[in-house]
Order: sequence, then C-alpha cells, then structure tokens
Amino acid sequence: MKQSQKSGSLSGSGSEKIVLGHEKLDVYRLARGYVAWAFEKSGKAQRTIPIPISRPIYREQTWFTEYLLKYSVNFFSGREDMAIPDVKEKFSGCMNTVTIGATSENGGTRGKTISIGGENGLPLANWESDVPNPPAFALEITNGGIDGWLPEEARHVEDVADDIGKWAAKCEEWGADAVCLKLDAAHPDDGARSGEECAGDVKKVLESCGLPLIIWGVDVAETDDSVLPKCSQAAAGENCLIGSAKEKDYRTLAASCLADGHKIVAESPSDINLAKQVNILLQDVGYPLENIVIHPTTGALGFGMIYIYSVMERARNAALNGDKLLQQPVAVYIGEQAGRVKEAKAGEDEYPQWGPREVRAPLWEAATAIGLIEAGAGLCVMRNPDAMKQAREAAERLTVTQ
Amino acid sequence: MFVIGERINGMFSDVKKGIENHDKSIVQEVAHRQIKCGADALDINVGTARGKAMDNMLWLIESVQEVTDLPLCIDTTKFDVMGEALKACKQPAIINSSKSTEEELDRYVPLAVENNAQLIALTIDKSGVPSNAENRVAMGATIVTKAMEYGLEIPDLYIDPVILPVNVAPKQPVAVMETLRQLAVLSDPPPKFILGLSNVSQSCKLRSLINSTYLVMAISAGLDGAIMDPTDRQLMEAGITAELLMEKQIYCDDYISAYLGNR
Repeated sequence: MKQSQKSGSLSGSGSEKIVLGHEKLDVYRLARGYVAWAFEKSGKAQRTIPIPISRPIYREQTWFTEYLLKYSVNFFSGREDMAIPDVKEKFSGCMNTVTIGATSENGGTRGKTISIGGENGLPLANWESDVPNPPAFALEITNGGIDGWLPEEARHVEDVADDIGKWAAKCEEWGADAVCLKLDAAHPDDGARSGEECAGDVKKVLESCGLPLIIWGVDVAETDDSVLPKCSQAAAGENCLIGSAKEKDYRTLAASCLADGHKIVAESPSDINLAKQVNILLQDVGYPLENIVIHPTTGALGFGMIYIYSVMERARNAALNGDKLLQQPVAVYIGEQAGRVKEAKAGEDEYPQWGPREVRAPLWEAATAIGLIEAGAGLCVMRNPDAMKQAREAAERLTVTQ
Repeated sequence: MFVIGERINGMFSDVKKGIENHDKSIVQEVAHRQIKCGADALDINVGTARGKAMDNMLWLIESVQEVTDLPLCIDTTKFDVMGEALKACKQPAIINSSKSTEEELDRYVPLAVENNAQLIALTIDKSGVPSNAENRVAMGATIVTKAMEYGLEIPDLYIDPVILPVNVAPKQPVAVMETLRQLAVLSDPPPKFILGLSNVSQSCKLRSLINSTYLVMAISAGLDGAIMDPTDRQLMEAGITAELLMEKQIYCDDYISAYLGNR
C-alpha cells in the first residue's frame, strides 16, 4: 500500500506501509531494503526515524513486524535499547572442505594449498553461518595455443603462451590461488598430443610455479582415458584436482586419482540429478565423497547462466539439509564460457554504444563469476587476470565484515 | 524418513527366546539386520519374556550397545524401568512413550530433558484413543505446551497420533492423516510426527502391502518417521520413494541406494 500524500514525506519513494496496528505510529520500509521508517501519525511536528535492520527483510516475517513496533515505540518514548533479534538461519548439513595442493610437509612441492567449501549456510552468508574459505580463483593455461581466446584474454598472455612454464609462473605473479592446465593439445582434432607429452607439460608447470595445480582434460572419453592417467602419475603426491569424471566415463579417472592421491572433478551437464548420480557412481568404485568437487558445467551470463545458477542453488539447499551426495563444493569454468558471449566478443565498430571491449570483456567475465559465486561456487577458473581481480574484490565486498 | 526398527521386541518369538536364554547373538543378529536395511534407531521392548522387566531391559540394552552406536528407543510403560534404561544408554535415547495426560507428561517431559533424550508422546488420554482428528489435535496441543513449559526442544519431540488396525477401526487412517496436517501448523518449528506403523495392519492378511501403502499416504500428510520393520524391503523402498516425491530428496537414478548409503 502506498503512503498517501497527507501523511508524510515518503510518498513515491517505493516504500510500503507495514500494518502494525499501533494507534500512534505508521511504519514504512523501502522495498526489499535494509531500512524502515516510522512516523508519528498525529501531532504537528512529524518525526521520522530510520530503523536499522541487519539483513534484507520480508514483510511476512513476523519477527520483523514485532521488532519494528518495539523499536519505534521505544524510540518515541525516548528509549533506544532495543536489540535486533537473532534470526539466524541454521541448517543440519555442512559442505565438505576440499584442499588442493600439497606442500613439502605433505609430500608435495607446492608453495601453498587452497581449501574450498566448508560452509554450513548459504553462500557468503557469514552473518549467520561459517564461511571458512573465501571463493578461490584459478587462472587457466593451455598447452593448445590461444588462437581461440578473445583478444582481451589473449593480450595478457601473448608473451608466454608458447611456454607453459613461464605462463604458469605469470599466474602466480597475478595473484591466482591455483593454476588450471587445460590439455587442449591432446584433443584429436587439435594435434592429439600424447599422454607422455602432456605429462611433460604437467611437470613443467609444477617445476616453474608453486601454486596448487588443476588438470583438465578435453571432454573426449578415449583421449581423457589415455592422457589423464599419465598426467595424474606425473603429478603423484601433489594433491591436484583433476577433471572431469562423467556419468559415462569415470572409472579410469577415479582409479588414477585414487592411486596418485588427487581430488576429482565430477561433471554433469546442468543437471542436478546427474550431479548426484555421478557422485554415487564414484562412491561405488571406492572414491571418497569428501574428495569430490562438483562441476555442474558452466554457462556465462547471457549464455544460460540461470540454469547453472538454479542447479547450484538447489544443490546447496539439499546439501545443507543433509544430502551427503550434494555436499561437495562446486567449481565453475568461467573464462572459456564468458568468451563465447556476444557482449564480451563483439568489437566497438559493431556496437559502439556498448563501450570499449577492453573494459567490457573482463567485466563480463567478472560478472559471470560473481553471479555464480553468489549461487555457491567455491572455485572459479578464469582467463583474464583483470577479471579475476575484479571478481575477487566484489566477492570480498559481498561478505559482511564482522 | 526417521526409521525406528521395531524388531527387538519380546513379542517376537526369536527375541523372546534370546532374552529368556540370555543369548546375545540372537538379539545382536536382529539389530544388525535392521541397521543394514536402513534403521536410524532401534526400538527396545522386553515384551512378554519371562523374568523381571527391569533386568531384561538392561540386558537387552547392553547386548545391543555392544554392536551399534545408533540411538535406542526405550519402549516400556514402566516409569522406573524407563529411568534406569535411559541411564544405561550411551547415546541420547528416545523415550517411547508418554500419554498426553497431564500426570504422565509432568513426569516424562522432565525425564526427557534431564536425560537429554527425545520423547514420543501419544495422543492417548484416560479415555483412550480418540475416534476423530479434533481430539487428537487438542491432545497434540497439550503435548507441545507441556514440552515448552519444561524446556524440551520442540525438534526433540515426536507426536504419535496413534493408528489403529484398519480391520476394526476403518475411519482411523483418515483421521490420523487429518491430525498430521493440522498439527504441523501448531508451532514453528513444528514437532516431528511418528507412527507405530505396523498396528494399522494388525491381524490383516496383506500386512506388508497395507503397511507400505499407509506409510506413503501418511508421509504425504506430513509424517516424519515410523516405528516399523526396516527389513521389509517393499516398505522401506515405498517410504524412500514417497519422500522423493515429496521433494525431501533430490532425484538420481540410484536414489534408493543413495538414501540407504548416505544417511
């Protein structure tokens, strides 16, 4: 209900009247906002007070109306000692914590490790739950060349793209939490680089940078089954994250990861039922659920992000309510996908009103990352170091400082 | 679905024999079988076995606790036996049960709070089991009020709206479902709801079919768990599937084993 002209100064501001049944006070809140306002109904000098609210509020929540009423009454009677009621949401379940990388203490050679997951509440909701690990960011490197990369993505890496070791070292310089080696060169249409050669690339990356390593195959079952085990072996003991296991192709990778001590990516194309099924298949072959990271595949903003978002949302809710087969943290593969969207790709000559591409492209990648972090992503694989920086800063801003 | 396995009960001849001969292996075997099939807790009832109820109860608890850490559901009408049994339980136990008369609730609710136990309260008073939903709901309200009065956390409270055999009380299954629907809005968070399920098919011929059909119907009305026979596979699978269809579980092709393997 909109406030009428005669009763106050908030008309037209989009605020809603809240019915409190109090004879002297009218209370309004800004639509879905953090602030509410109370008015004295009568009297010549109308006083207006802002009412602090700790979190977004919805009218149907009864604590809120009670709180507003008590606060307003206390205020107008000269008291301001109302404490904001504790309305924290609690869940019975908790996300698993997955650590990637092994330092010398744990038999590896990494300079650091990263942990993802471990939350016992909704994404970033650190005002009511534990968020032990902020979202982690990995930068993607590939042994297949950067011909398919957007100019804005390629610009940063042109000097190092033909030397996988130097490129990996650069990622460390840019502040990535991990480096993700994509084995594009192994693709049968793209050179069919052998398992031994790819294993050589893995070793080079491990030698030249101290970041935890993610190794990602090419999504061709026969290739992945022959190449990934070699790469897994070459990185034995380094506690890498290797992707990806799928419903029709999981046994070989699961066996390799078990034997060489790696974490595994369980992939399912935008399908929560399959995500659960792949996890149970991995469990059936003896791979521990707590070492799995879910990859629900990735859709960029403007390219199906909503499907991934809702899968992640449902999975998190089920996990928090105790579903052990969905308590795995989620990784998303953003850089590659964001680069497929017209808004990130098109040049200024084509769409002058969209502004310069060098600003737009990283923004698009960062916006995609932030959207998926809000849905619960624990690990974002990105391409553009500028976009990574923007996304990390935005994620920090989204977390309430305690 | 919270499944309390009903098989460790002296009314069953194997368990009765185990109690009377002090043969732990029989009782432990029954415990094992129920756990394997998906029990979340085990009901312990000495039934009509020879000997003192107190001694038999403590012996049963000791025998079962040797093989499992699952919570035990102490099933006795004797208050002194209940008190001693709760002390003997290593894990927080479940009291089965209190009637909803004030005298009983005034004894059992504090007993639950003292022992950090959960409580099953039946909608039965001095005049017995109500014939309709209204009186059950009224008793449910008494139970919740008493729980709040003595500080029993509402999620630790189970209300059992008491199902009677369908062959002698044909209107009861519907009345119980109506009770479940109405009691769900009684408090926030609501208490949990449980049924001594097998009673619905007492002395009937197609017991398993009646049990599993009614379990599904009751789950759709808001039932959270049942005291039942988890070794009845059709029954377990029907319950798991009903919860899936109530969106309490996310589907995957192997949802039955997903449920059983990851509770």
